[in-house]
Amino acid sequence: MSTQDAALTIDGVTKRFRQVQALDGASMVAPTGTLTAILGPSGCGKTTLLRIIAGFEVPDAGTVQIGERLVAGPDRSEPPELRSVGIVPQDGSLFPHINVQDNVGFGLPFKQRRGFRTAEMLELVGLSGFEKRRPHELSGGQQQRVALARCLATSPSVVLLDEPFAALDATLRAELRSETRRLLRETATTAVLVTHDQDEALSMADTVVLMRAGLVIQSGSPGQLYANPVDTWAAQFVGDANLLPVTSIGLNAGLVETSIGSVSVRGDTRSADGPAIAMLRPEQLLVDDLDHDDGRPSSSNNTVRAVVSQIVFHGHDHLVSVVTESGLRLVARAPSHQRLNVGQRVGLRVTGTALLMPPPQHTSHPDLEQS
Amino acid sequence: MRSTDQSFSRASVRHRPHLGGAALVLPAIVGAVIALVPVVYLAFRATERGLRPVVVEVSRPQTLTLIHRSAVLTIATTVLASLLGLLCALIVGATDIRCKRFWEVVLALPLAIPTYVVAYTWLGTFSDPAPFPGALGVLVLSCYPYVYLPVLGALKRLDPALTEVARSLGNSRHQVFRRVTIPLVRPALTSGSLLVALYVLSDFGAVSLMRYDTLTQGIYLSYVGSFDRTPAAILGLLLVSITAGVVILELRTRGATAAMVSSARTPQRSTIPASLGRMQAATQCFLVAVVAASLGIPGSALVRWTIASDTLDISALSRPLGATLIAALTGAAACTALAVPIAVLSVRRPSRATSFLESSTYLGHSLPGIVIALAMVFIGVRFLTPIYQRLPLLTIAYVALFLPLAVAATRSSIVQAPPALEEASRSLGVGPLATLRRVTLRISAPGVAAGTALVALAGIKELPATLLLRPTGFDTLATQIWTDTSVADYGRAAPAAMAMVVLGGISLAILNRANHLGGTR
Repeated sequence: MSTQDAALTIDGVTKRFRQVQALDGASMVAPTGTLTAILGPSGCGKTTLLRIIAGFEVPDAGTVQIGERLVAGPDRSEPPELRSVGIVPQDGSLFPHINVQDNVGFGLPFKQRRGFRTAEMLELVGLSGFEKRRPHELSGGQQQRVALARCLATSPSVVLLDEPFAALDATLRAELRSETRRLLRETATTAVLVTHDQDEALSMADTVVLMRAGLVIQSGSPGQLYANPVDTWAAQFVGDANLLPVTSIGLNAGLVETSIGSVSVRGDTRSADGPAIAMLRPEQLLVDDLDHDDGRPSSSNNTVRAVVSQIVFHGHDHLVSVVTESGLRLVARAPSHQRLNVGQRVGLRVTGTALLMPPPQHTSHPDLEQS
Repeated sequence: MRSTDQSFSRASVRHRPHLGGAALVLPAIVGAVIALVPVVYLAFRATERGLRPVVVEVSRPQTLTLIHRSAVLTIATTVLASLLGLLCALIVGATDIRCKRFWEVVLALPLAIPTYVVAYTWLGTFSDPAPFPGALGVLVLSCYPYVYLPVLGALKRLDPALTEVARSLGNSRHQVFRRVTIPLVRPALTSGSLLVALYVLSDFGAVSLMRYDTLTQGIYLSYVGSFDRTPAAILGLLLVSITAGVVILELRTRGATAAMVSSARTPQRSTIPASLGRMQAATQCFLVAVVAASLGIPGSALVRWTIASDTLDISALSRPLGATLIAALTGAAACTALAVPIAVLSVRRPSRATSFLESSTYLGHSLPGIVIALAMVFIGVRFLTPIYQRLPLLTIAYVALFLPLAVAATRSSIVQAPPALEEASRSLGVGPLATLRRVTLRISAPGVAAGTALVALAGIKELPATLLLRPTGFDTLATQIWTDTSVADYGRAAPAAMAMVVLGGISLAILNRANHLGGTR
């Protein structure tokens, strides 16, 4: 993407809090009118980055640009009120001493606070008629809607969403996610969402920025991130992954030998000199029932024999953990109408291509490895 | 299925697990009666001879002067103490003042010194201060912590996300201060101010030593000055009515505060303090001046006089010290014994009856000590002659005055003890009273102890009720300081005042510790 249509550009931002290097040269771009998700485990620095964008923290080095305007750089840091950056905090943070209407109108010039704009915003979030309610009289979801309306009322250049759905229950969370998405699209607002929830990032964002240990390690569309993670950590953080040690790079281009046999790979096989890993998503492993062979042609050469060790049911599908004859643990996704039992013998077939990547490096902090 | 469910629920309604029945209800009723009867009887005593004497007494020019003086002193003190308390709280809670922890603690300390001790040191330090400025100065410098503490608490609870959101919505630091910070601490400020007003209305020691005659002093003079005690009762009732007005105001603002608190969580971060910059030194000087005036004057005078006093002998001090401890500790024990059942009932069995029991105990605390004392005198003379001017009646007066302190502290700590634990204990075969003793009270012990310490501290400082009700020859530190100062014998009272401050400090330390233990739970 070009930086010309970037609503927000962050370049090499670092920030240190005493012993903790929160940001270590993070760079990212948020295209105008789209939703960018900053995804990462807790402690990766994503909240610090958000607070630097908002102007609540001053970076040690690096620059923050909003549109063409430099708001934080080597010798300057614009105060938050001049940045035109709106924020929707984790729990809404509505002002408890004033009603809904005054909350939404808080950022508007005095005469407009109870005027058309406020009414319009409340209608936008579906809360017309709630003007005179106090924040504590609203449900969690309603509070978040008011917080969103309050933020959008001033038409900020960038809206920052700080894990705004984390405190809600599952149904409400899904509902509010899609509604927020719709509102941001309708108002053509540039938004940056901070989250540790990969589902949320993948389902809502146009661009996902993946962070680890104070650095942006990858950014791209949700599809790109899922299909082509930069390393094994990224592969496991964005979805489930099978990591197969490569025993030898095949003589044929696009084919490698792994512990479950030959697997075709995408990407450059020649660059992988030394040990490598072939990554397969669970849905790339097809499970065949070997105990109740109902005449389908299952036992081809490519089948790997395994035993089901655990099944996690998800409704639309289930995640099947298996152990191969060579002792390798793998996960496969199977449609839920396919009946499988723990202890059952199955055959595994690979579909599609695996991604070749370097083996995991154990240099990063182990406590940052989980979400 | 459905019918069995219903029969189960009906059975469980009928056999609600009782909490120890009479063992709790009786003490709770005793506590409520002790708190209620004095006022009711005072009203009866004041109107015994019909309403005519009441009208005559209230409309006397002397009475109107007393009302006027009380009102002027109350309003002036409340305004000045609120400003001082607010300013100190903002400096400590919202700026980058250096030595913040030190100032935070030291600025609350004047609360530990009784106003009559402060008044006594002023009388000795400044030769003959004028009554009004003297009383005003003493009360402002002693009462500002009533505003300082709640406002500081509100500032600490303030969610930094609120000020940040306000900034990102285009408001400067000053606008955020005006539009968010001040409105959010306003309930704390209001209720703190009303506490100051209540305190000034009921203060007896400082105003009487400063010879600024207010209603409390009028009641006392009327009581000691004539054989007909009906005028004293009428003045007492008048003071009660004025106080009740302030209490109602206070309760109203408390409702508003509750709504604010319920919507805010405890913040994980603290608000970034405003930088004082070049004002740092000037602000430090201001705080030094506040502390020098509120703690320095009484402290230095006490030290000076104690050293200079050549009549310092321990035996002279040991008798009032012993009397103070006996009175205060008996009162504290009685209050705790009655507070526990009331608190348990109001938390675990909330109903109209138990909430009446609880709120009736709060009545006494908002009433001036002199009024409770007067009512106790009437009751003692007429109905309780065997214990009149004996320790038990003084203890009952302490209960009427200080039971709410113990109830409030006990209640909040019992709220923290999860009912599930009691249920677990009951299902393990332990009876209700044993559960109370082995589970509930164990968990809430720090809070109960804090309540006891609070009552003990209040009892040590208490002057008017002790003065009127003490057994003959039973001199406490408080009464001794008051009598010595009344006859202008400043040096003689110094060791007693010193002992009083030390005792107060010890109770405060115990209280802090108990609060701390309660907080870590």
